[in-house]
Amino acid sequence: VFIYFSAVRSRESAEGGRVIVEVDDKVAKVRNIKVDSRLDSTWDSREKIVAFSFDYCYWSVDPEDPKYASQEMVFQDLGTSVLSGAFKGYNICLFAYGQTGSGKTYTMMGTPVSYTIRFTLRVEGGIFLEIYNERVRDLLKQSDRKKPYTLRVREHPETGPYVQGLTQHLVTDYKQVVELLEEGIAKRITAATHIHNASSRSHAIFTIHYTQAILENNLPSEIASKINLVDLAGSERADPSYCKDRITEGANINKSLVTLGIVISTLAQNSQMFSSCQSINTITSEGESSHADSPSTGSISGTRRPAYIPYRDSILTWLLKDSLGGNSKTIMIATISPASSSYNETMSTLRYASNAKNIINKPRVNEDANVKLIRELREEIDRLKTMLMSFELVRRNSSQLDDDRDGNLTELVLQNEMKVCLIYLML
Amino acid sequence: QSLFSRVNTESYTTCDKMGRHNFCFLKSIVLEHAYIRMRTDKLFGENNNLGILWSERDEIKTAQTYLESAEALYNQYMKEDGNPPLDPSEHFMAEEEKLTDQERSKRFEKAYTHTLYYLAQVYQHLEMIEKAAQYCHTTLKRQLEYCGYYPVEWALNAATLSQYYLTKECFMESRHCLAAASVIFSQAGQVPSAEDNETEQDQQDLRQRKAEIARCWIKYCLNLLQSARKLLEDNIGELDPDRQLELKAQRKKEEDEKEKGRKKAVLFGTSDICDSVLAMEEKVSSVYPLDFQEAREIFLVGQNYVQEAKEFFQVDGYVTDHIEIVQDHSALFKVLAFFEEDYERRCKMHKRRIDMLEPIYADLNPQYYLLISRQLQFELADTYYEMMDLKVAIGNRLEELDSHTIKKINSLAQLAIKYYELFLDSLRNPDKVFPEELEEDVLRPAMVAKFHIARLYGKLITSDSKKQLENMQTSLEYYTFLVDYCEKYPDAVRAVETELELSKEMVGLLPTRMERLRAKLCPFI
Repeated sequence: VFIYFSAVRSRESAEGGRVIVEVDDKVAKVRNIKVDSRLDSTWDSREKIVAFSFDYCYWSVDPEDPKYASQEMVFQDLGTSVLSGAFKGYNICLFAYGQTGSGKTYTMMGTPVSYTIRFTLRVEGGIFLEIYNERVRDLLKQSDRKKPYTLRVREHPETGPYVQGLTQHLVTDYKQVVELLEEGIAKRITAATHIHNASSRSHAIFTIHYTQAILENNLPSEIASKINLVDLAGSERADPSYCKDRITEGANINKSLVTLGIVISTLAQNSQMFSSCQSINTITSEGESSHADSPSTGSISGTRRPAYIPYRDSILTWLLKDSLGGNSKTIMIATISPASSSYNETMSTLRYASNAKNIINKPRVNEDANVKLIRELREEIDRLKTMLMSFELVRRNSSQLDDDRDGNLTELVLQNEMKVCLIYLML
Repeated sequence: QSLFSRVNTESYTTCDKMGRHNFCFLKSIVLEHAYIRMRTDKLFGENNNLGILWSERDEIKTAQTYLESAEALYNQYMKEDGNPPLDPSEHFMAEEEKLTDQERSKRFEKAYTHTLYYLAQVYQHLEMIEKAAQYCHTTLKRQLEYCGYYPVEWALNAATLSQYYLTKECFMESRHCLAAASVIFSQAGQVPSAEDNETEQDQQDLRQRKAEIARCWIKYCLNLLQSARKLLEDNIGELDPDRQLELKAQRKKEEDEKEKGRKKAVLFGTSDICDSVLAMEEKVSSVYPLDFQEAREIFLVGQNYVQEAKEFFQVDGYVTDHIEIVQDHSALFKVLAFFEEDYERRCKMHKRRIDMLEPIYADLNPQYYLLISRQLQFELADTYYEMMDLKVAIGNRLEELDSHTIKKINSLAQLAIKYYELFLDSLRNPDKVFPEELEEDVLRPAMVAKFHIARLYGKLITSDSKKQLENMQTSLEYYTFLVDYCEKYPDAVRAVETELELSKEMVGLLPTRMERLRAKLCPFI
């Protein structure tokens, strides 16, 4: 997880925003301005500074600052990660999360693209799409303004997920890729005014397919992989201008409590997470295994998700299926603005980023079968021990008694052993 | 806030002058509500599923205070007066424009519904989950009472709420939500679409929603059966007959009183909807099934919904959803098998699971469906293991193990091994090399797979001592893998403590046993 701090924007300076974030190596610290402003009140004794640690933190606010990270530095770290993975044949998935204007598009789109292209990988084609409300639109094709999100994602068992009717564009050099990107981004921005808040609640994915020519056993061969650049939604909530619309609109009480579904599904989801943890603990405590507090405990098939929640943000994960887990590298960049006016936003972004590792589904183990197996094996071990011990005993006794009879006794024990063997083979 | 208190004070002054006490209530409710709307809208906005929303706790606490007082005011007002108060907009209207009582009441109630809805969110964010669910429930209930809902949306919300109740093992509430969802959803098809050119897509959406509600029903049946299993099983996962008798007696005693008391509070809808909902509910039980017959009835309902859901979520186009449904179907068979006493029939149920999972697995490209294909590998392996266990149990009842049964046991064990190996192969990197160090998320599954394979090699039956030695050697190698790995990466120990402990024992014991066997094979050496 990378954290990127952009420069304070001019609008923020005009609003009198103060810098409330500081970076200490890989730790980002946020000062709580709300607490600051009521220092006199004695009831609030919470910590004023909250710290989050990440793999990398970049401070690109003030070029004079000794900690200042230039674009070059960011490009280098990020680009190198992306590229080293890509060379090995991994699919790369780069997520960006953060407020609009905090520079995420620039950071994300600029870095890996330029690196990939410059480093002689052969780019095959690019697609650029936007997901809103589980529907997709092509950002590289003119679409109906009233109903732009008409494409559907479908899955094929052999060829994987695909968007029906999406255009793929042939690109051969860096310039063409940038042109495609710019075209799509422009389309996203203009469309935002036509569709109700769509852009702030939509995800965008730019995918580059590329191939690498290699020699395998002296035969020319190709490694095909892709780079997914994902611009995640969900960070516009605290934008002051955005809220204004909602408030005026709010006077008219409509039939649909817009977020009720989300509230309910969050409830179900949370309680599901909790209860599935619980059930795993129950199984392990009933069984003999003592790994109840291990984070990786669970089941791969037995304790599947106990509930089904129709509201899922699933298209995104669908499309990135081959890029999450398995032969892929996932990088998360959270971009934040250090200004005080973005406090809420910054906090939610940082919290989100530090939870980012949990986005990806993890395989689990079925404990049903395991509990039984463990019990059984314990019994076998006990039998084996008894058997071997009795053998030892007999051997020692016999060697003390009479060396001549040793052979006979050994044979006798062996015969017994075989019987025991046969018995538990049948069990 | 200052604006709010200023207007509020003014309103109280006006109230006193006019001597209209009730007006005060109205005004303060309405004003608080308007203020709260502003605050809560700002707080909750339209957060999306991915964003883990963490607004400032202070703000939520403030909202909570206001909302709870609005709620209390509403309750007090309804108790003391009962007539709908003036709508805020009416203060600025001429006398002749004033609203009818009916309209006024509607607006007032809607405002209150919104208060509850915001409270639900407040409680959710304060992690008062049960309270939040209760307020969601009430919100849904009020939407229905005041006809303020879109059928499809309402049905889906109710179905989702049912899934919350499932995780809390509140099956009566869950069933009620689902039954109401199904009833209300059926209204949706009757409303003609406004724009005809959209109907195809709308129809598609509608079919999807219907299939989604069916999937919620599947989960209901599955969870009810699984919870019952949990209650009934003994320490090796078999049905405990004493427990069964005990629970049956207990059920008889409590059945009536308890249910009725609980039901009143959560019931949805007006009388005609209510009747349809009750009729829908009667189709499936909401109490734990305690024997095979009862379990089978629930299983069959679940299986019907599996068919319904699969009609929309076909494998071509909806691979993940389709497979998830099939996995649920398999899980339904698995839990039904628990209630089945006859081992042969039980084995057949597991065979049905194999028959539905195997072809799906074969068609799946792991490049795109890695996780799901791993899940299938593991489930297939476990199912074969279970079948083998049953065959062994059946064999033990016989006087002598016949060669047919031995063959069957061995082939089932081999198949289980095959799927565990396939799972382990899926962990190999692009160069087909098994990773030196396992990623944390696959660590336990991988170790458990190795452990199970070790055990399975120990269970293979053969009269050929040489073959037996070979199997023991293979078994030993797998146990050794666990021991060596944990020695090299001590962090792994806590993920597989028990498995490691047993593997160590086996690594200690197996060589001695093999030595004995070898000695017996060539006694003269």
